[in-house]
Amino acid sequence: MKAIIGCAVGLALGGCVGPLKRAEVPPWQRGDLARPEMALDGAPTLSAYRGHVYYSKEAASGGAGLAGGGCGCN
Amino acid sequence: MQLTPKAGSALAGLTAAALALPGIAATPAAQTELQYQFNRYQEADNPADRTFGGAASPRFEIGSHQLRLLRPRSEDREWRADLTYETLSGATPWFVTEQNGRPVQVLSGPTIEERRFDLVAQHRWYGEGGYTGLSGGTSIENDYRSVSLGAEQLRETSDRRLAVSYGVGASFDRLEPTDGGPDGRFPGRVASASKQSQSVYVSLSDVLNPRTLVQYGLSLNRASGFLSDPYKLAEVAGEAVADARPDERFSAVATLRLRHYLPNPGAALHLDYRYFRDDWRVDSHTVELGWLQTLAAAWTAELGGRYYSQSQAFFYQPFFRQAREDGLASSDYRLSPYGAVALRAGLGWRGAAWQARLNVESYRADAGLALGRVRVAHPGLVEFTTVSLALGYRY
Repeated sequence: MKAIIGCAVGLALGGCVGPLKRAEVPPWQRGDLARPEMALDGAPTLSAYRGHVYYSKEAASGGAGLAGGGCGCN
Repeated sequence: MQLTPKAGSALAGLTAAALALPGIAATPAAQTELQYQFNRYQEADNPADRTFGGAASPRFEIGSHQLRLLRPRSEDREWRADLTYETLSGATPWFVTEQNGRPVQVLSGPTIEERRFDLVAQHRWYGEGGYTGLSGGTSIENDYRSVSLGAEQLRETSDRRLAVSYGVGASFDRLEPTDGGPDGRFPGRVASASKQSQSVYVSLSDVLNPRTLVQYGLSLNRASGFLSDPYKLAEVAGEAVADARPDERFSAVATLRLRHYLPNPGAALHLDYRYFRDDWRVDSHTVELGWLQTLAAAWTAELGGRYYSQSQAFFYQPFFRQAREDGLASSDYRLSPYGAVALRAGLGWRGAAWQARLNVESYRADAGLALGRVRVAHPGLVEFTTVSLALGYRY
């Protein structure tokens, strides 16, 4: 299982090496970036729910944002 | 040469929109948005061969309702509020004992009936190149109350290619565990306690090229006070004692999020990574991959996977042959070493005013999935399924 996961991540990153190159981005070339599916968090309510579930069931918590309040779930 | 249309022109509005970083809202929402989401969470039975008594045991189920309101008040102000109401019932892991030479889970019995109410509100002030937000929240259960405060800012460069956000937060929690205290059914359970937490974060978003966006983040967190679980026990030298954890916990979290658009299939690839480390000696890695495919003008399908691995806390054991010198002890599976895999799928529809979304996710924790070698697997590792249905309206 670990080998499969490692390969999947490697393939994803390998396929992204080209797209990781920095390039000029004039305003008329930002159409794809503005697509809803490109949002860092396109479903904040779902993300909040998933974050709460993982916070309740795992030792790790947090990310790039305010931590918020606690609960009796952890 | 960079175009600089006159302010107030239609071209200025289109150019401003084109310049805006996706998902990084440095401008207030154009419309009021209201969204309702219902979630159903169901844990799988704890298997018979890992449960005390030799019979499979049902575990937790939770139903929750979320309401989100996003309301612009003017050209430069915005209110946000998130309300959650959930009901919890079932049995929960209580302690671990030894049976036939193997650790087995003792569960509490299907006696838990809980309700939780949670409200978070934020006000944002938008200005040239960013915003400032102040937030406050409360979470209320019959045995737990929490109040939280937060402040954050976002600042972006004039070309809207880079954005920095940073914030601080604090939480003040009060516990009054059921049946605790000298007159309670469980005298060894604390009657009341408190804990506090503080956090600070910073993140940097960067448009790498016309189809790729990346965000780096770092947060530091401190919790202090009563950090043990009042409803859990640990077996120490054959006796059940109260779960006992340190009264302080420092943690650091580093995150990386990447979004890349593939025009030929018309899909976006999401890659998220998180590294967590604390002074309880828990290290964890989280990797999430997602594929968001546009099916037609208003339909989107999503497939995703998540891998998680954590090491154990230094005061964790399934059970203890003898007491630790520092008096700490926990057999909580959430502090044990394990890995977990989750698979999710979703379907969304977005109209001019209405939108709907259905998501399902299946999660399985297993000691064999951990990055490190696990000598003794915890018998109470969890499997669960969630289903979420959301409906939204913009006006």
